[in-house]
Amino acid sequence: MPRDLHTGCTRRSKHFRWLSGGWTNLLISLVAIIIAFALAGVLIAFAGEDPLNAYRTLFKGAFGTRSGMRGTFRYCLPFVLSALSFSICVRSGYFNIGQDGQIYLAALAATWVGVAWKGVPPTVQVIAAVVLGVAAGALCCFIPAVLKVLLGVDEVIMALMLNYIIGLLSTYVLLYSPIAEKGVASAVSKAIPISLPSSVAVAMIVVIFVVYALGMKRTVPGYEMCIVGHNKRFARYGGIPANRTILKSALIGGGLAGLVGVCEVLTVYHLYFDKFTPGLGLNGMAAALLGRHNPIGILFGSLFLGALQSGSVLLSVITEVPSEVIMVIQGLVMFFATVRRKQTNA
Amino acid sequence: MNLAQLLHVTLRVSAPISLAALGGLFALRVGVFNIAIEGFMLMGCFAAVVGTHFAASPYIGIICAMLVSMFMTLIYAFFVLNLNVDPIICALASISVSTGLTRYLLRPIFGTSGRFILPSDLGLRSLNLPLLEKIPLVGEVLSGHSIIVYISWILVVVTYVVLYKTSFGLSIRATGLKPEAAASAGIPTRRVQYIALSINGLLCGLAGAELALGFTNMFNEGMTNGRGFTALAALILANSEPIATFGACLLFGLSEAIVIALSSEGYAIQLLSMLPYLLAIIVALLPPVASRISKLVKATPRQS
Amino acid sequence: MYDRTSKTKTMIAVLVIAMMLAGSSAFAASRRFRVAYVSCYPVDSAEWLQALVSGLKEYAKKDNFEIKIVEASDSSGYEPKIQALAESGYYDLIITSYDFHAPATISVAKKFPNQKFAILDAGVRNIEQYKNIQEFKLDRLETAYLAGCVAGLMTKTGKVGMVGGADMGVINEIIAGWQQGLRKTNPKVVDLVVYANSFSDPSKGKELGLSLASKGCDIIASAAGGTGVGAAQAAAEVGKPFVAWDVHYPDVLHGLELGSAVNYFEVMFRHYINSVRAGNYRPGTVRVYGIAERACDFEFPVDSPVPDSVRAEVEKIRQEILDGKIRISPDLLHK
Repeated sequence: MPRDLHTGCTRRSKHFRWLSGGWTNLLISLVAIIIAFALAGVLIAFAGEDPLNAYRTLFKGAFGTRSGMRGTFRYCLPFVLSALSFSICVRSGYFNIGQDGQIYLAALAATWVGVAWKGVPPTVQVIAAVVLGVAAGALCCFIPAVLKVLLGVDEVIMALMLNYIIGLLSTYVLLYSPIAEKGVASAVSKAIPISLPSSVAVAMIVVIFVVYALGMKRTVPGYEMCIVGHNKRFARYGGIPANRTILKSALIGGGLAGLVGVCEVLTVYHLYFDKFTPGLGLNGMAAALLGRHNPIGILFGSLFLGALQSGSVLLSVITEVPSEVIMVIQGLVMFFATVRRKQTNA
Repeated sequence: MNLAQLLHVTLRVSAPISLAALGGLFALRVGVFNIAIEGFMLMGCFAAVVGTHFAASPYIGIICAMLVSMFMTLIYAFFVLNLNVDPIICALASISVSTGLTRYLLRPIFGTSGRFILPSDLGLRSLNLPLLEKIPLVGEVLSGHSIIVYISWILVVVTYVVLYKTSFGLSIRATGLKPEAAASAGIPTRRVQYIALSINGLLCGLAGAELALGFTNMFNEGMTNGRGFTALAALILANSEPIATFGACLLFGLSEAIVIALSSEGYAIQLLSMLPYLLAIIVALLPPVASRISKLVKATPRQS
Repeated sequence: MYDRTSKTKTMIAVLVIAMMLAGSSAFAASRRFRVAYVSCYPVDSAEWLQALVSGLKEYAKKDNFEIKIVEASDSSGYEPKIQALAESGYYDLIITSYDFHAPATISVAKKFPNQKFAILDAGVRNIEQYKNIQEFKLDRLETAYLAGCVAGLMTKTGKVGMVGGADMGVINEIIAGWQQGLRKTNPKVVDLVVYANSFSDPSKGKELGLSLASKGCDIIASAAGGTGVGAAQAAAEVGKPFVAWDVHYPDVLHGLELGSAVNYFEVMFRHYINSVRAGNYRPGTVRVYGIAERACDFEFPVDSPVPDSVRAEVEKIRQEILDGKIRISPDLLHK
């Protein structure tokens, strides 16, 4: 069985082409998105609401108000990070589907530092929480990578299983460990007294993004990752340590996913809800694929998904469009947004 | 709960998973890594209940489930194969559309929200196998399942035969391994992919029908509850070989049955529920570790 | 549109002036009272929520108030949605739910000091410090206790089983009441508790129900949403009596349902909303509704097999609860 099935059949090479196809594809994408909204509009009308008004509200909720803009930005940033995490792994041929697990384990580590460490200066505590969280994410991504490289065990099954296990583990910890808040309706941690200022979080993400955008194109490690992802054997002939490159990208990818988890609990919530922000990893993956692993594309993909999420806030507050219709809209748009001109196999 | 009951539950629990996994197998074998089987299964559950309700027959329900699920996979196939949408994006979108749509449609179709319960006489009866039933342990384990469970066992063999003993199976395997080579050998790869994905849809629909009609007789939003992903894990675990896939599904079924049997013993349910997943990891690790060790053992005398 | 900030500000100003001039009760009569309810679960996930949503819509017509229901089940939507509601300035009262929404509600309430907030059963710490949040809750312990009493009287093998949706506070509170009720009428009872880890998996619920029956439980109870329907089907399949929560399953159980601990969240909400309308908004306090307020009760369906002697005994215990003679602890006896 060819290994590269996971990244999308035989067309994986496409992931590495930067904005291929140019204007034709953009045009096709636009037409496709319009079709998607038209189709979803039928459902909205069926639910007894005016589709045009709903879309106006959706747009306004995403870009029209100050809190809407802030929301779009807030949703967009973790998507960018987790998209980069997915992308960097795919580049070296490692399919990182375990982001949810990495995010939750990292959040757990950060929460533990934040709640259980007492008598430590807050700055030290925040730094320790970030470092440990990122390390936890990296570790969680590293394990399947090591097993893949050493034993040839499929990373997808390992990651899926780890996702389930970490999900259950975090519920357990949030119910029974000392960091759990007792006597409440749900599994949730105690309030985290420390905080990662949002300006610092944003700055970190911007730096990471710039490093990624430049690094992938212009540095040796970025090039090596690409070669390993394209053709492992060729990379070995060329003297590139293929396995080490895979492990390296898994560590970085896991660390980035870990940072998502850390930022969510330390910047946004200041506590750990069990299964917070579900689908973060999947949305990141979608953003990466929407942007075809191109940094600018990822930015737009994340912005698009973030805007949909943020706009749906106002949509649900103002209109009577049921939340499941919003889900269908998101699905339909995703269906259509990546439609592209048929290409000859590269 | 005794051993016979445990194995009986194992077979029952693993049936929908193994049907879905067989479906996914056809997709994977033509080179489409289809993580949307969760969504197709859910559509199958829903269609099964709709069909059964309006035609007052569970068999019509099963056919509805298979057709609707196949229709969904054909849309999926069209987007993936003809419109070049990334299969994973398309799958995520399919899951989100199916989850949303089934929740939404409950209202206009049944006038309820969240769930719809069929009258109990409309369910699939469990079948008692005439001769087998009398054999002490075997009868208790094998007899008394719904018809879809028995069909799922037959389908495992059918899948194996189709894949390895027919020319169509050869086309499927060739298309998955090297589409360019297959095409130049005169295999209509696009058509083969479409047929394989339709089979994927039919099987996922059947899995959904078993979940909705075979055992519980109702639809509940999100009732697949991750079984599609478990099926996927079984598929990858078994390297998409039909018989091994069935074995992997049985393994998941067995661990689930153990979890059910141990649930009332007061263990922390979160830790207990990890069992199937831990087991899967161990099973995935065993063969490569064993081969490593045997290589090491063989290598040592040569060095000395 | 009401979400234009300038208009909103004018509206708030007008509102404040009007209130000062006319007094709140006189003003309330001049236009419809507007309530927003933010649910932390998908509104079709549990029976009590379904009943709450449809009930609220009905009462809104009857009592002439306006109700808006918003689903905020994803943690990333808690604060944005609550904030958007507050920003609109349209609602007189915003109700949020459980400890999921507590941090977001507190932080939004600080930003909008003139907006009335209420939160359902969140166990907010030091609630007295908040000037615009009131908590209200439905005491699920009492009905769970009564359910336990009935099962304790009806069991013949002395072994009963409970299928809970998940190991979490809301469900464990119910199980705690159930366990104490069982022991009130049947001190030697053995009760098994299983969790399904899902509220939407009837198949799992049925497997768990069957496994309880095979372990010798002759009464099965379930508080688990859609998963619970599966448990009821299991009870029907093996012919064991069943105790339900929040709904009756006449078509599933065909005369096997002993009764159901029904919590009328919609009635409680109606009471609460009307009390706020009447000017009885008391921020910084917790208001508890129970059997006495008719917000919940243990109900026998028409075809319930429970004999009159048992019903009389349960009625006696019910009276004791109403008189405040029974203290029910929210802690589980065992798992």
